[in-house]
Amino acid sequence: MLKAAARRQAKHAPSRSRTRRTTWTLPQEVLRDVERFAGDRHQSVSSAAAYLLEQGLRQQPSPKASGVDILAMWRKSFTGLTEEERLLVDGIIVEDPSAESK
Amino acid sequence: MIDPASGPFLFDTSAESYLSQSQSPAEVEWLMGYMTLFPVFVAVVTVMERARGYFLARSRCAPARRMEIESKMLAYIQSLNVSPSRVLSLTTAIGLLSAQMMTMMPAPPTPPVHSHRLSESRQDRLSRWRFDIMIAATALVHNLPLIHNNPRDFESLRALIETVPERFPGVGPLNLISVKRLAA
Repeated sequence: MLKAAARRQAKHAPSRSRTRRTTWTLPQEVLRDVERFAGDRHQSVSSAAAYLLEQGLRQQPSPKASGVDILAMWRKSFTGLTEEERLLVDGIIVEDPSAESK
Repeated sequence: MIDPASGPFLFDTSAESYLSQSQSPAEVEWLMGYMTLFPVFVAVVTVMERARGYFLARSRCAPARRMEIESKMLAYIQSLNVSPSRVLSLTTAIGLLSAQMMTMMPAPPTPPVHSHRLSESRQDRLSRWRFDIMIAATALVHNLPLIHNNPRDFESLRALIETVPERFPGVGPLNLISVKRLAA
């Protein structure tokens, strides 16, 4: 009965991301640092290494990324703005006092 | 000329605006070279400043122009969501460092902006100063040189940290790079 309940529970539990077993050769000092990091967080070395890799990859520019596209978006975000609008999106909140008094 | 390989850098709101409008082939080439090497780091405060500007512009413009302003804001938001853009969030360390700087330099070092027709209120100047402090704190906490086009504000903060480094343990100096020097 307990086994059946556990099976039912497992069926409704959120699925874990799929994993794959692999073998890597790492510098000893890097591996020691990962093991220390895992120990501090009470995690397995695999979980800690996956976390650190994920964080590191997020910091890397994607090779598919196009600087040309980003510059085009930046230019579009500015082109055709009036002087007042340019100041506003530059963080400078200006008013036309003469317009206010009218 | 600043070597793009000496990055990564944090781009201030003023630097992003400058580069967005640059027609200089050398500056464009510098930016392209940089983006192949490092992310374009911006502080979340910059996103807030820019977005507030678009919202204000939209609220002030004629109804017929609203769609155009929205499309410009959308282009900006899209630029943040693609690599190599990277937005740095506010953290406890950034908050504490900003609070320290705001306490030691409560007033902005320069007066509000005035042109022949447009003027900035003292209140808005103060809020812009506080945003600049939070951007500088983001650069300091992440140990990133700050690229800017606002020398007077940021030089004041750099000088503050250099004068009393004991009040800013573990951070600094604030490394500043003028956006105009990138490709010069």
